[in-house]
Amino acid sequence: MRYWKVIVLAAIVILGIGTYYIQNAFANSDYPEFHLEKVGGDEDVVNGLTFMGNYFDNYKEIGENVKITSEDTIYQSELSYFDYLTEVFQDSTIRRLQSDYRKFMRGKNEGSSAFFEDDKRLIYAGSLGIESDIGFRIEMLDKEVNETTDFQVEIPKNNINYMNVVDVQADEKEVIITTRNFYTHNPNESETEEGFHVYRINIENGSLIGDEIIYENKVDHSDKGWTELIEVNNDMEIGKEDYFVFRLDHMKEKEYGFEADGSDYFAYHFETNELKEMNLPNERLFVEKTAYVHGGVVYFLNKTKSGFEFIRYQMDDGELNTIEVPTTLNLNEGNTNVIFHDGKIFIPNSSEEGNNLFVLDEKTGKLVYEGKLSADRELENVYLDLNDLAFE
Amino acid sequence: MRNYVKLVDFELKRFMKIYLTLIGIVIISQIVGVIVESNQFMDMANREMFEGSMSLTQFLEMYWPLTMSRILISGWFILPVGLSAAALIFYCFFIWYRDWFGKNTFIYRLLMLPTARINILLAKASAIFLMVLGLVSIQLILLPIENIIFQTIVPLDLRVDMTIREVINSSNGFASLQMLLPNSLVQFFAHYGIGFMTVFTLFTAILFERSYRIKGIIFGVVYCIIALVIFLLPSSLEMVFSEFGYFYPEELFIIEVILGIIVTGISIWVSHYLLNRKVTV
Repeated sequence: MRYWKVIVLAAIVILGIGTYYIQNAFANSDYPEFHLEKVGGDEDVVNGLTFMGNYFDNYKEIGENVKITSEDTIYQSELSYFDYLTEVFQDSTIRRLQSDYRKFMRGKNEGSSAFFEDDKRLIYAGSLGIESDIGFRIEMLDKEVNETTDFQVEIPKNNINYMNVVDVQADEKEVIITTRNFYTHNPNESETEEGFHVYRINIENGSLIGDEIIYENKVDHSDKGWTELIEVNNDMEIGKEDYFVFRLDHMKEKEYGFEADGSDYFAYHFETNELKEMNLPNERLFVEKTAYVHGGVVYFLNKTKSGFEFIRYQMDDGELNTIEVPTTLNLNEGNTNVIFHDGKIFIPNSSEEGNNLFVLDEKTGKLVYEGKLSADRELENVYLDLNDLAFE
Repeated sequence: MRNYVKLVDFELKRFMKIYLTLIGIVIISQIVGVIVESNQFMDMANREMFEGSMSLTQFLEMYWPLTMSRILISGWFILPVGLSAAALIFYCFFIWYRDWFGKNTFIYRLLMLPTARINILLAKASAIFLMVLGLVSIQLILLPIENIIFQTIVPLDLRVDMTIREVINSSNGFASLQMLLPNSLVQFFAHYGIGFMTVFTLFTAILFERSYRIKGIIFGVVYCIIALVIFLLPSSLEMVFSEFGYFYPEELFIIEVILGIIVTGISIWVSHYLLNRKVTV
């Protein structure tokens, strides 16, 4: 036969690669489907809720991004290439902004901490310069008329080595940018300093009207220990907050390397320009603890025998109270998130024992829903890690 | 068209012996690999459980059940595939130079053929391409066979079965499989499109050298750089204006598709010109 080589080789290619892709298109998913199963409470609370996370099959050495909606479990490898490109890499806040304000969001690659949003405006504040130490570029989108204004503001030279925008707030008159700055006062010394700055910028004329250092910390590493600043504010939330919250961990040498020996919590009030040290009982409970900030309250989540408790610290008056939340399901040791949405507190909890979701009413602190994700098959050495929620 | 197919067939024939040898090495090495690796694991299991008095649960906790993806990281798999890849990359050059440096300057006869000279170029590129895809297909056909051998040697208690897609997606070892066989068909065409573009750009550079000799090497290198700059234009522009991420990923994809087609088109056009006007025997 003439040209048999071309024919045979082409046949092998079509048989091998062609069959593979056709099969893939029709084959069932290789991975489990997850469903949220109600254990108690009101089903309506979780309507339109989407879980986002990572799926790991340790035996098979497979790791995939996964999205779990009430109808479907979608793995990254099952997405079309275009969906894969648009969906996989961002947090849910940025993704929502990109789909709602595509033009405004173009080229803004910072995380959500560089954004502020209220009903009328979406504001972006990014740092300028290669070392991000020259100043800010501010862009404001008026949502009603869909118009963008932008301007640049320079800040005084202050031996800043690097600057990181950690929070943006705004009222009618000014944009308030909180940054974490790293700088050296004496270039010959190895000792560096870091600090939180608050810059206030007049919206009308774009001038810098305030440059305040709210807290400074000497990063002096010694054999005995050091102190380090940790942001407590939730950077996924871009709405109005009255306070910027951070903590100072005192690292000391312990039996197994360095551990925090104590943590001081601070709350900075934007309106009065006042820094308050939070008056927490001196307990291990608060050391190196993840805290969640929302609506002028700092929440500390704590596992108890009957479920968990929320310790609420009211920043306005320093009042401390505890809400007991008895639960049917366990809050397991693992990865826990606290997400505030629409007057509710969503707590997805991932561990090797399973994935649970608790929903509380923010005002009353009552449990309004609890449920767990169950798979459609027996899972062995598989771990599902939930790290974000999206709401329809 | 017939001339083109004839030329492709002819180009394949000239490399067929080596190509079949490569396929043979891949098949034999991988099948031997599955048998050896599976047996080694079974030996270890027997040693630990019968002589070392480990229970099945203890054994699995310590060594984990065997999977195809764990077998695939052994040299039995990677080396023959690497060898094949290296051979085909080398042949991208050799497919031209053998015509000049062969016994009786074969290029003379090729250029004298009563067919458009561009067919020579297209035939050579197609031959390389077919051979690459052929090897990938052989690998795809081999994987289920290897899976069966693996399942025959290692009992169910000691193994975890994976689908072919899972084996390819596994983050372990054979990550190049994911590049060769991406999840979506669009991505598949994107990867091989870039491959096609690279082959044509390289061919153009070779033809520059063949046309202008020493000076041609410089032309060829410059041409490759220009092609690269055009293809990477969006990222170069971002670099120049230090405005990163201006384009959304899906826009970037469409721009890259267009730029890739442009680069491939220019390469074919320049090669066509060189083949018709400048190439010397």
